[in-house]
Amino acid sequence: MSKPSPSRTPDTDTAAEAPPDSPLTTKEGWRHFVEHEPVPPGLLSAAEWTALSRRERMREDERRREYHADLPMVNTPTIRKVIATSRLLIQLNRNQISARRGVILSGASGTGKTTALTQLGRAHELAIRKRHPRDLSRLPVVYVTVPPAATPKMLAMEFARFFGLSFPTRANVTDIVDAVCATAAHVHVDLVLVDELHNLNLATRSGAEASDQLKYFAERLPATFAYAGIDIESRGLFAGTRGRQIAGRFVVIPAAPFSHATDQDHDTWRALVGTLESMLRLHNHAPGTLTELSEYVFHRTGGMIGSLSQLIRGAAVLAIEDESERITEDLLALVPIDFAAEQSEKLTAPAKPASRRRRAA
Amino acid sequence: MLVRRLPDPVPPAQHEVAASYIGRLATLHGLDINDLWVQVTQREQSGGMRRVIVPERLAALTGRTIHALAGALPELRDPEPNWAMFRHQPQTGCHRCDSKHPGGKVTRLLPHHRYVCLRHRTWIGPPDVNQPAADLSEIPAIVHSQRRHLRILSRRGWAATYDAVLTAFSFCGHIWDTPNPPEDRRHVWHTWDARARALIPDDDESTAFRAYSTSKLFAAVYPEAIDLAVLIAAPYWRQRANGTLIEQFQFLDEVSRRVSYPYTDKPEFGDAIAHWAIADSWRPPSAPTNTYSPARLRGLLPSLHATQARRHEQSALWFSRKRKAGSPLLRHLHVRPVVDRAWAPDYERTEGAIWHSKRTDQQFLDQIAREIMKQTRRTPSDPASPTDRSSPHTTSGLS
Repeated sequence: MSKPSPSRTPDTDTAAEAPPDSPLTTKEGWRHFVEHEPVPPGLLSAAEWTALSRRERMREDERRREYHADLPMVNTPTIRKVIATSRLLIQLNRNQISARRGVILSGASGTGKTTALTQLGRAHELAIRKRHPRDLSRLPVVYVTVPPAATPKMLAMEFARFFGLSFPTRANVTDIVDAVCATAAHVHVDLVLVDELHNLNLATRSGAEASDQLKYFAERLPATFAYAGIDIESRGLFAGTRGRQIAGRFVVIPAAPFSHATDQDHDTWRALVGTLESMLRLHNHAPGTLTELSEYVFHRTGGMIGSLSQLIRGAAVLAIEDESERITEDLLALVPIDFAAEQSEKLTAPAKPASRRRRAA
Repeated sequence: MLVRRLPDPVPPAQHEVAASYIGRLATLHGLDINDLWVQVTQREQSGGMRRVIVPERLAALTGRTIHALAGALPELRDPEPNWAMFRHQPQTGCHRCDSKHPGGKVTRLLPHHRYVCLRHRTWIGPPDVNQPAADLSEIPAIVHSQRRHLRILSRRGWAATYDAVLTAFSFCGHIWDTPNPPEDRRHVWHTWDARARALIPDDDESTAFRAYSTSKLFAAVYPEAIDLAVLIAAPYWRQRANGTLIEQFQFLDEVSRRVSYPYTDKPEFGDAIAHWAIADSWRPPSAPTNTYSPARLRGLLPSLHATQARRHEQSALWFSRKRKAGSPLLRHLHVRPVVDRAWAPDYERTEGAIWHSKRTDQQFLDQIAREIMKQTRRTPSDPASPTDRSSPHTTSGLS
């Protein structure tokens, strides 16, 4: 008779481990992002509000603060274009065995590239889940970012990290790529989002190899690739032999800040601000106030969607905190925004008459 | 070491060996099996080289609770199960059940009482050369016998059931080991032969050779083995087998009602049923020779050894020509614990143990009488101990 097995004891190593973090570049973080849908809290009437106890009011305020801090991103023209183009390409690439077409989203910082890219992934994943409601293990979208000073192995590890595959340090890049491709095929990946593409430095050898690695992934994985990065065209990604091949396969969608040149641009911007305003849940806010201030908002933000989002969300949170429950120009002036937008404001904003400022005060 | 959940953590199969499950997970995700094994195991606390599964890590890897995993994987149960209840060797199960488990071959550690997959009506045991499970849709008696087997288990417990079923298999092996087919068409020999022809078709030699498996011969005798096991496991009939001459005849009458007995072909070579009644019926049930050792390093079944393959070929050839199945049944390791019992002389070759298992000669009877006397003297107040049994055994004309 064989020797009985030793009794098991709880693992001392795992007890002291930190809880796992779930950034967007992991399947857990990505799933959380896809499933997260901010629900606007209902606005209470004056009578209901006064009937609440102090603790309930605080809870209600906290709920609204959280909602405004997490205000859903509106459907900008860039987002619409990226989603429409990419969904078409995914359809076209479905039966392609090689030379699949892709999308590159290029533009300055703060123009909403990452937002557009993630919204594309979210829209695609929700559509796929609707089509396959029972297939819970399906992962149609992979979202990775190019790490700084990327090498081929680092890039492959980013893909592996998204899936949650871990390797011993001795694993070589071929092992990692094989595992990633086997897993991606098994879970039916059909859209790969690669962000921060400007971290690929083609002037260095490792950067060029990482670029080749990315192309190798695009060949191995039966998926549509969508890239986003700052000013991709000017960084030489389309130069040389490699660049020509990339240029021949990718559609470039520019992500530019909003313009305020023509009447049509005015209307687009006004509609954007109006949509954001309609999402606010403030007790004393009169609809249309923010739309009236759209010109001021444009000069504050320089037409950058990221700055606009920060400005309005910040103003809404401040309005709840100071209990004014309305967004005014003075409140908007209190919200700090990024340095680039401040510089833009200095250059483009019209000088305000001193009398108006006094009147507002 | 932080373990993250795999993208497609497929569920484990019932009674699956942990190494097999981890191997399937690794195959599905293109990972190296050894690397994944190292991730979810740690070295045993005694300092040995074996690695034991850390349930928390496997739970993190699969996103399933430890409770759910332990329900399917016996190695994860805490406290550990009684490993003697399981076969000592992992094996493949029903191929139709396995088809819903992706990632490669499913290796299971089945309990002793699992011979038939009741859902798909397939024969899954005892382990033999790696052949797919046999379809039993044409022989419903075998499927029904599995249900009766489970009833014995619930009434008598696993140890008595294990001993009874194996002992019954050995009886069937002895009955089927006759040199010539009996002339009586109602003899159970013909029933078994008909079942064997359904399981191992003999249309031509190559078909018979490919379809042959000793495990299927166990399937052919399984219904009658369960008939006998009901008697062997029952304390009443054990007492009858071990009682006075009249009681012994009652027992043997019951045996002959269930299977064709006495087997009259060359009785001078011995009678295994009489041997059991004399020597074994009053002893405790025989335990399995080997028990499973958890934390195995490999989840795959070992490849067929050349000697084993050669033995299988010889058995297949012999069976295709002679249609005699008693010898392979008795020589199969599955019935070894009851052919070569703990209290029997230790023979170097299987032939010796088989010869001893059907002895009823005078020398053997004298030896048993001495043993009974010795035991009676040791426990005089034990009511279960045999008393005054030498007379009926020594005079019995059982053979």
